[in-house]
Amino acid sequence: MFIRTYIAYLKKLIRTKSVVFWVIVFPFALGTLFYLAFGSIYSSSRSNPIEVSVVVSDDAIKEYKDINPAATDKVTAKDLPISLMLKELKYEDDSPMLKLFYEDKDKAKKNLKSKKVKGIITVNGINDIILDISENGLTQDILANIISIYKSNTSIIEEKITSMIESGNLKVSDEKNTSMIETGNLKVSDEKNTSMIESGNSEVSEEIFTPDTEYTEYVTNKALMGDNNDPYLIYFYNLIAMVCIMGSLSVLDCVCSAHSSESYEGMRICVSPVNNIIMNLSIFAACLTFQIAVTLITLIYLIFGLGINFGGNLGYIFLTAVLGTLLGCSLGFFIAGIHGLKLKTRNSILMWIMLGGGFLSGLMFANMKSIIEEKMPLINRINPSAVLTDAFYSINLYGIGDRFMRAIYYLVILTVLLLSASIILSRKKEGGVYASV
Amino acid sequence: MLLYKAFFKIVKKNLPMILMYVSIILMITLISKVSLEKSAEERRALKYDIIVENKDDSEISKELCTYLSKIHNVTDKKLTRDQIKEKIFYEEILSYIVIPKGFGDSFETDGDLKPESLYDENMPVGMSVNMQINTWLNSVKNYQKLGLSLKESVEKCDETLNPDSYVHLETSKKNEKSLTESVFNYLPYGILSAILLSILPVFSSFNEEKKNQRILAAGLPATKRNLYFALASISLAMILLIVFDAIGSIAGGPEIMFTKTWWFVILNTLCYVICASLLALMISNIFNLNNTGVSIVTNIVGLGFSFLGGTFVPLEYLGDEAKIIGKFTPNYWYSTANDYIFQGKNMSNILLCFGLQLIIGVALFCVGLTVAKVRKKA
Amino acid sequence: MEEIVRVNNLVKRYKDLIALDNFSFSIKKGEIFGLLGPNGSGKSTTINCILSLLTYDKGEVYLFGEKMNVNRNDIKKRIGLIGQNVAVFNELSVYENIDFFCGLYINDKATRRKYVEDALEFTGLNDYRKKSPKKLSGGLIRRLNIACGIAHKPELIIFDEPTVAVDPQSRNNILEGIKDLNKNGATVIYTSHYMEEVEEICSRILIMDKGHEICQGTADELKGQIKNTENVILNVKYIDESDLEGLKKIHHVYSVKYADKVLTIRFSGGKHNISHVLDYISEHSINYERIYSELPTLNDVFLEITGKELRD
Repeated sequence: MFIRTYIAYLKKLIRTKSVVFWVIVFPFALGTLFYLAFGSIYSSSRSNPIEVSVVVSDDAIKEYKDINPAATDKVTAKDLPISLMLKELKYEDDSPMLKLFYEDKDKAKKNLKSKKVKGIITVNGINDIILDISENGLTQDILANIISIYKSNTSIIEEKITSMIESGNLKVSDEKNTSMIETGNLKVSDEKNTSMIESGNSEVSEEIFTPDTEYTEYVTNKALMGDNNDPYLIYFYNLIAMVCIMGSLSVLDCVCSAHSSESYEGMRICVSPVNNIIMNLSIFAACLTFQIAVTLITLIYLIFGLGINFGGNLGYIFLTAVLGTLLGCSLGFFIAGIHGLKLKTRNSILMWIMLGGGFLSGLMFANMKSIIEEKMPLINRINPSAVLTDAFYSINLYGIGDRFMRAIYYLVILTVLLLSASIILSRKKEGGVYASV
Repeated sequence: MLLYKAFFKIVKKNLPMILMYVSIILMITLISKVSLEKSAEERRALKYDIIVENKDDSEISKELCTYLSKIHNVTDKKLTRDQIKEKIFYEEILSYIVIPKGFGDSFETDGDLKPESLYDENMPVGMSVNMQINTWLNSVKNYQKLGLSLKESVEKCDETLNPDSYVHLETSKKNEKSLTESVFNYLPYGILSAILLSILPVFSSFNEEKKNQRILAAGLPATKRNLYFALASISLAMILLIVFDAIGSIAGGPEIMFTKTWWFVILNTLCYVICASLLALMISNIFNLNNTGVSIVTNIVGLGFSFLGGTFVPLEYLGDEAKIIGKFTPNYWYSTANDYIFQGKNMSNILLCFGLQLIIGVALFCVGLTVAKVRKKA
Repeated sequence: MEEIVRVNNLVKRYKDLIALDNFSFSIKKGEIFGLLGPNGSGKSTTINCILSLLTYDKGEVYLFGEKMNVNRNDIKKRIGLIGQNVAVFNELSVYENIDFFCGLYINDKATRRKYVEDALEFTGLNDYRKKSPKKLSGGLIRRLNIACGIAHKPELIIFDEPTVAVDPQSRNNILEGIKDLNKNGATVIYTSHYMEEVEEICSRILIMDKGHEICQGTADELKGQIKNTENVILNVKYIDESDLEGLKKIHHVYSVKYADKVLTIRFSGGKHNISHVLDYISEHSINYERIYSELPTLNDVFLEITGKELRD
């Protein structure tokens, strides 16, 4: 009985061309669109110059002229030490790190407001430098760090000069000294996303300063992410979660079509002496098989067709996807088992869970899941999309360990709960007559 | 009139789903509001939540901790490594820094022992904390080389390095304005999905009727029937437009209403609604969709357009190829117009974006008609 | 004779509407039992209650002498249902469909294979076994529908309006099939609102309306219960009111009705009634196109008891 029904429903599913078409088209189309939208984001953001306004006050130029007798009247804002340093900043690939706009305060403010520039560097004196930003972010941090390194170096040099003067080693009028303030080629390496700013040797009087201003990398970086650190992966996790949960729709359709209230075939099945639990389970198994195939084809397309690196062990990724499909199908089974609902209502419920759940796990608003985790963590434990994306995330993030196992536990617990509830509900046949008076 | 009513009867059947998109937009509005208010509280520039675990006893490591707690919100809760990972994973904290035992000695002697920093590459700002530590330690070292004591060096560093002294976060005083901007930027997703979900089923069920030769409007000539359909579609689109615009406007507060910006924003949504309706008509002309088809097409188009057109992810983050494809979606021009409006760009720029949305709509509609005609001939 | 079906005082309400009102009847083994009534009279509701597809408010249903309920799989095993709508899977072939539905009853593979072959043979679908139902003509798909319902060789077969929207040829085919099934030993319940069919095949008929039994018996018994013995029918383009009155005065006439250019004259007893009518017509020079005489039908039975036509 079980196997016969299973085979019959599997045939029915595979031969329903419109269903097969849409079920396959959905992940392929969305996957490709996601790929197009996000495929090149990461690489493109890598070595784009950061746009910065530079506002140099007349006082700063004057101060520079005062302490640097070598400076002629022709000295402009672009000749100041800070300007030279900013200009020299390079990415790994030797492309300039900053794009500088020398302009007046008002124009700079306007540009900052319209987000044309990321920040304004205001130079009021050799060591009096202010950074204006309009929001917090990585680029702003890089700018702040550049300034802090400059400030640190200048103040150290100032300190040195002072201490030398005090100890009588240095004459104040020494022409060379003033130009020493110029910090040389700061190099910023962007390898592995770590914009480490190294300042090289300052172009200063070698005999005094050279060995001291070296920049040591003190902190050992330990990235949290695993194999693939592209944050847009979360959208693909969500896509797979959606495909898995879409399995619920076909289970719903098939199980309900065996209800006497939903189809004539269902009436026929209901008047036959079949065991409802076995009948429903075999329909469920047929849909599950079909959906697992869909999920696997989707994954294969994403991984091997589009070349998306999910990070972590491929076997476990497939395993998680299969478990996710089981979860999705169980969800459909459960909704189909609730007595006394119209098919349309059941469908709406599932669409709500699929899309609403997708929204809550970050399908449209990437930070959503962490916001929920903070405010209402329970939702992340029972929202199928969140449970699934979490599992994928932790494979990539933590590898196969406790964290992943915990995600899988939630997945399995939720599945078992839904499945057992469905079986209990299946013991009683759904009554009613299709298209009755 | 009968046809008009039948149209809305079918729409009513799909109301729960349409309401879902409305509530997603509502949720986004709410979240944007909360997160904007939150960031308004955290006005201090470049200040983050971090965890520092100091295993060392030396002066330098203590001073480093003090410095970090000055420039960031440092938590020194005792947590397991897994819990910390979890916290970083959910972006509750930015990074986790461990100062190993014996670092002080190592620092003195230029040894290899180094602080470790754990952060999420999803939030690369975590690196900036590392940079700050590096800069601070380097400066301290350099000052010490000049003969300054540790205490003096630290004081000097505090003066020069504390971002408070040289970084100003420009507070945009009108947060409501940026809330309106972000909410209106999300609207196309809701509008497009809701329109597809309400118009497509109507046409598919009328096509079904045709098959059964029981067309409701059997007595009506085709042109009149299409007129009724058009009227009903327009009324529906207008209802949806009012609902979504109301959400955006309420989020923006009374200050924004009836200002010039507001009128432009509303015009922008109007252009988008027209384009979305024409798109729905095109799809119903080309495909004969069943229920599953309708929801899947709605999802593909709704999500796909929103991702490619800068509705969910800001346009500036999209790659070049994505942008090229995105330009064929009305969402792209909607988002661009929205940016322009709030940046106070030239009217001509904004109008161009409006026009492009309409042109895309008309072009799509014509494609639909052509396909339908070619198919009829065949 | 063994009682196959017994329904006692069945009451079924749909909110305000009473679909079945203390409805009772019984069916004996080997009968073709006709359940006749206009649309909405409660025929399908009765069937659905018998099969436990619907719950009912009061009453009992006994099948094969045992109380039926939704979990009585042993009873369900002995029943076959053929509804008015085709209930097959479009995605499965003819053979697969019969095999699937037969498989719900018969687990043994060899037996099932034989039963499916028998059903194919019986319904004449042998040549179409690999076809998809979508490619079958209307008549053939009806036969498939029947094949799916009878393949497991049930003892009680329920036909719920199997001839709705079926062309005349297929209809005869179906009716012949039902007779054959009955000959092979099956008890049959047949519901319809086509009295001719019921009259043709049923050994016993129950006429119902508004959830009540109107009358029951063999077709002849039912007709014997009423005063109508003969109807004379004329196609007349125009007739005066006075002539209608005149016709009424003919001996044995008890009703004259003119509607839609058809004049129906009902007689209660009497011989040569048609010649009396012809005499009157030629006397009053009434133009007619056609005249014929008819024995009373079940429609007349229904009409006489309820005062309304069965057909509408």
